[in-house]
Amino acid sequence: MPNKNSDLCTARENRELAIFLSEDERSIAWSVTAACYSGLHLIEAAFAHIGEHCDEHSQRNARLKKEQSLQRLWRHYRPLYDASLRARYLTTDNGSAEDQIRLSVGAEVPANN
Amino acid sequence: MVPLIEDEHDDVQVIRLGGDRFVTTAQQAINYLSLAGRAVAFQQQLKELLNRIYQWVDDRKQKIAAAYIVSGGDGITLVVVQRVVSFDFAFEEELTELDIEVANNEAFQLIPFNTLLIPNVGDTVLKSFLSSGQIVQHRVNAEQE
Repeated sequence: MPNKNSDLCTARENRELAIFLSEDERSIAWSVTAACYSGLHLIEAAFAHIGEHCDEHSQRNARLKKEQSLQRLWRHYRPLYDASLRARYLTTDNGSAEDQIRLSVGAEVPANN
Repeated sequence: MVPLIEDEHDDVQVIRLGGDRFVTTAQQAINYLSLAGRAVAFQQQLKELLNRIYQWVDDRKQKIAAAYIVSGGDGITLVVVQRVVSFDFAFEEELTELDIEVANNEAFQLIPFNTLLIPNVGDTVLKSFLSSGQIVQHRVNAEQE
């Protein structure tokens, strides 16, 4: 089971990756996915602080939305979690999820796609 | 099924309506009855949850192109498709509040519930996105499966 410091380090690395990917709009889709995992590891660090851990997304999400003290976290984490789902699974008829995500946030879609 | 407890053993003879009989342990019979009771409660909760979802969707029809209820390993998921391509972050917050409301409503405790908002996409894309689960209900302008 990862410990608090391990989760905090992983969260930091994912955050840096998310920022790198968002610079110059390198990849919005993978940037939000890295941002989601940064959030996930921050939550796991908080759980580790009280000696707990969640193995699965569904288990973690259920806990975040049901425990009143964690609902504020859920309100911030859920948009990242859902954005990462869209980023991985939404494709267009002729392009990638990246194109669809770009369209949905008003970013330019490269002409060569 | 009608369970009958016989003799000094912890076995239960089960007689089906057609007359067939079989024996199981008392503990298993209790488990079966518990499951059957939960199944009845689950059906009632699902019915009430669907009514709540329909109401929520109907109140927002001007923003929604289609809404699907998809069953999968994580419970049921309400997938809402926007009318517009541009992602509506305020609408996502409304969906989050529904998510929290349902998760904390005692009337829906047996049903794991999730939500997902997606921008307007073509039918082909949408179907591939929904393919991981079984679409059990559709609402608004969703295509009948």
